[in-house]
Amino acid sequence: MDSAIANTQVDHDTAEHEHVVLPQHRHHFATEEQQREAGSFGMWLFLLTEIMFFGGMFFAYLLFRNWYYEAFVAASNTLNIGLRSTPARLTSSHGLLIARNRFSRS
Amino acid sequence: MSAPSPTILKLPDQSTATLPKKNFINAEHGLLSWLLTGDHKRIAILYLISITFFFFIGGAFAGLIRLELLTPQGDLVSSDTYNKLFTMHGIIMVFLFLVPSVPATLGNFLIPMMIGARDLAFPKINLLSWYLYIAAGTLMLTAMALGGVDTGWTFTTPLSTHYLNTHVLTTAVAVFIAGFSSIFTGLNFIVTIHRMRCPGMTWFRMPLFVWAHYAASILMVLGTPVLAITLVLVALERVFGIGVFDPSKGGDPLLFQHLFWFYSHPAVYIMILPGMAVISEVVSTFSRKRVFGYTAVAFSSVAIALFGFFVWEHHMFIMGVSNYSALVFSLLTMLVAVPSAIKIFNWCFTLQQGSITFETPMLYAFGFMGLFTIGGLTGVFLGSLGMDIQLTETYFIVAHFHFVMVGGMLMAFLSGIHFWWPKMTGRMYPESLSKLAAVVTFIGFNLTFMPQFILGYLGMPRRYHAYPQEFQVLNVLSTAGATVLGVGYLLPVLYLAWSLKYGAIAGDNPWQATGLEWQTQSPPLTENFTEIPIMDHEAYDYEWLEHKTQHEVTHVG
Repeated sequence: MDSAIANTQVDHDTAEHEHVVLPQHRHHFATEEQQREAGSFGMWLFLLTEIMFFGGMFFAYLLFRNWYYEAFVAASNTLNIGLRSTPARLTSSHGLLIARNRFSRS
Repeated sequence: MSAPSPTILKLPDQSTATLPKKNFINAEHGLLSWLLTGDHKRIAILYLISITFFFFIGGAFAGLIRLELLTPQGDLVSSDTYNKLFTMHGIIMVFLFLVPSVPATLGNFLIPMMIGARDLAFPKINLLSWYLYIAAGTLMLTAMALGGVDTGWTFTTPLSTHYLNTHVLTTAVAVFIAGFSSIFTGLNFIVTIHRMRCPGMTWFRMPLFVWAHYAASILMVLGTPVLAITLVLVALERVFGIGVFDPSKGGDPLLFQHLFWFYSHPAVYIMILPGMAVISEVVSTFSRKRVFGYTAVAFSSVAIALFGFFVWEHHMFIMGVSNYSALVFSLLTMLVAVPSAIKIFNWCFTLQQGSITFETPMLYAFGFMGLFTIGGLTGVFLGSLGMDIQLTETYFIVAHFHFVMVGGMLMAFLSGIHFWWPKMTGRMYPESLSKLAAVVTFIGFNLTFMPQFILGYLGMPRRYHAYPQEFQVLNVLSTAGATVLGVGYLLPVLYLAWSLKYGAIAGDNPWQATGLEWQTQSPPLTENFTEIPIMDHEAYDYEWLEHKTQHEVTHVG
């Protein structure tokens, strides 16, 4: 069954799209540029949904921080995690970004 | 009338039409070729089958509700069971039928074809969204089989967090997953509409179907995540007691409603905008005229999407919100009526001096225009603060949103299914039987929900399984109507299934419609077009179409 699908897939690609050269080019995009633009646009849009997703939580946080400001101040004095983990996370994601940029340039 | 119309409807002779040898249905065979497909048309068919299944489950619950309300005493089911019935009816109909109904089936099938693309931008994400939908549906059925849930579809706190021992968590997870299914559909549509249009397809040459889906997709992408996080908070509150919505821990139960309705009011526009999308196409095709005020209709979709985000508080007028904010939200609610009215009036002007024919999709479209107008205007009643105090939480509300959702959206869905059935399957549905179904649906619908307006006005509350004797006549009418309505919905399933094998062969463009989707073979090829089309005319240009067909005839003849 699987091989049958693979075969027809190959048939499609060779029969209808000889002009496609790059292996990462998907069959339904007219040009590779279109594919790249669609990909990055989709990613940004997904990040937007994430903002809305966590936005609800941040909104709730903001509300309660406003209502119970003293309690938040008292509680924040007992926290020390942020000092260590925040810089660690920022550096690690920065490193990832550098790696990604180098990778796509080569 | 005798208006000079260059395009009197002349449908092509279908007796010589043949089914194309190669199309997306027979391109590959076997169950796996469907379950692993990336083809937007096949995914649309998968969606169509699954939402029909869930529609009839939700419909069965509605039938039981109406059967219980036949008599004033609560004699068929206990009050707890009744709570579960209306909850499961609401959750299944809203999240598993109405939200994906037109976008995931017709939208999925048609948007790439209408803008001249080979597929949606992300075929695998499209397939993933169907699997998420199925996972959500399975979880929902599991929750149902294990004993159901009785929060109402709104999951209102503190009822859902503190007082119920039913399967709230399972259902919340199911709705969460269904939400991501619709986020992915919306995301796919937006990217496709932005990046995949064929040469010449400018924004204002797109069919209005695409515009309305674009607006609905924005709502899906921006609204649904808020619902998702709200359900996460409900789950956290239930399991760990974090107290966001619990007043005894300093939380606010009303905050839940703000968050919930921030999604769920736009959600009703997610449901109705794709319905309006269908009506624009159908009304134009069967009156052989360009949609009157194309730009206004296009922007009214966007305006509905925009205003839809700023009206959520009208669900909470009686729940202790400040008078001043209620005033503002009441005004904003009435503003939504403006773009909706723009659409209705523009469709009416499209009809004016058109060459109208009364095929089944058009009958459903007329049903939509009447019923949606009633549903929308009663919404304005509810949006005005004084009336709302009298009418909220009564059957008036139930009647209002059923007029919009069932009378509007379901009519539009059936209209669209009939309209594009020849394109999807290559076969015609039986015309006279389907006209009968359209009329039966319309009569059944009015008989079911018109009495509920009166019941609500007289003060019958919603969500009770027993009621005073004096309301019985109207309730019996409503139940009788629901029976007729059930027949009206069963008929299309039967004859559409029949037509798959025995229907007349449709040919490429049986309605002589102008959309790009009609200029290819039916059913279409896997990649829709043999070569990417170039859009060299405006949308709904019937003179272009006539010129094109004449040209074809001289060539063939």
